[in-house]
Amino acid sequence: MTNLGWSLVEALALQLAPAEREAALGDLIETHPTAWQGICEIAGLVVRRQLQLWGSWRPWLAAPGLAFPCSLVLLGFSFAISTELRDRFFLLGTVHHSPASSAEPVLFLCQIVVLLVCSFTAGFLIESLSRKTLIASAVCCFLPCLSCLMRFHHESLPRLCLLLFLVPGIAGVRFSRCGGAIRRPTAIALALAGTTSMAVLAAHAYFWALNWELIGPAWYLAVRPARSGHTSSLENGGAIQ
Amino acid sequence: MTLGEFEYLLITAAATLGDNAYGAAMREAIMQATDRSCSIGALYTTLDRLEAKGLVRTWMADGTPERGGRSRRMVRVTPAGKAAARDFYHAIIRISNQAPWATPHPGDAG
Repeated sequence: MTNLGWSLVEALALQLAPAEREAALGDLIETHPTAWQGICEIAGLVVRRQLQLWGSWRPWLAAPGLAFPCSLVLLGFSFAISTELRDRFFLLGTVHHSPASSAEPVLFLCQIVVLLVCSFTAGFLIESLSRKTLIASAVCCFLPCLSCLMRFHHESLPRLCLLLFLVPGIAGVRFSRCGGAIRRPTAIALALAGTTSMAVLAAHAYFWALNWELIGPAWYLAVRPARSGHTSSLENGGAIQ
Repeated sequence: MTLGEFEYLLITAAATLGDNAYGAAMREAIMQATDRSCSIGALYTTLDRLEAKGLVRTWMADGTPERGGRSRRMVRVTPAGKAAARDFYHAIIRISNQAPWATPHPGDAG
């Protein structure tokens, strides 16, 4: 097998658990396959392992169930907050007056609370529900982003403002990946803050049924059965029991 | 405990190889016996299933120079695995007893 072929095989094998990677690569070395055979062998094992993961409900809830719709809705919140920020802090004293600039400070605050709470808890929950399929969840999150970024044309707002929600979202993912835990009182406080803010927004015509999905992760964390500790999560590949 | 055909092949290969039962050796044994390919993916996912059923036990062992020092996944058949394989074997023998290909006919010679 050529160096390039072996490099490809090793790169593919990175998708496997360390012990299984060692065993599979060692078996390949013993049988002296061609590069193509080696790639097919490892790819076959990787595909089987991925398919096994998707036999559970967790990746389905994490990727198409949470990452996709939350991303879709949070894009809108990111845009609304960016517009507010522009109007409040960058266009003061100018003749520009958009409808959003007349919104009450309370609504602006509620939007920020929803963005922070819901992005963080969604990121945390997506990672802890199905750590091994995080790439698929990321793809589901970026699909709406990509679509919106390509269509977004606004004179005074950069495209990246749509991705504002990714900052707390990635923070939630990292917090979970580093073994962080959200205790029940904190989760309940976050869920209440998110729900109250959402209710205020809904009462002021910011109502969209899908918005309410955003507070789902916070409430899931608040009402899920208590765990004995983070160990149980690690033993299950990071999956919340 | 019922077994599938490939599960039976794996258990039999592991039992035959004894202390030398690990991934590559078992693949080789299965391919020689069946004249069919045996992918690493099928081998390791089936081993996981057998281990979950309590029919085999696996552990990681040190590698050898011919495999670049990479560790091996060793396999040992448990008593439950041996019993399941024995049941499967006897079922095959019983059902095959009267099958045309199992009973040599005078005209089949050559």
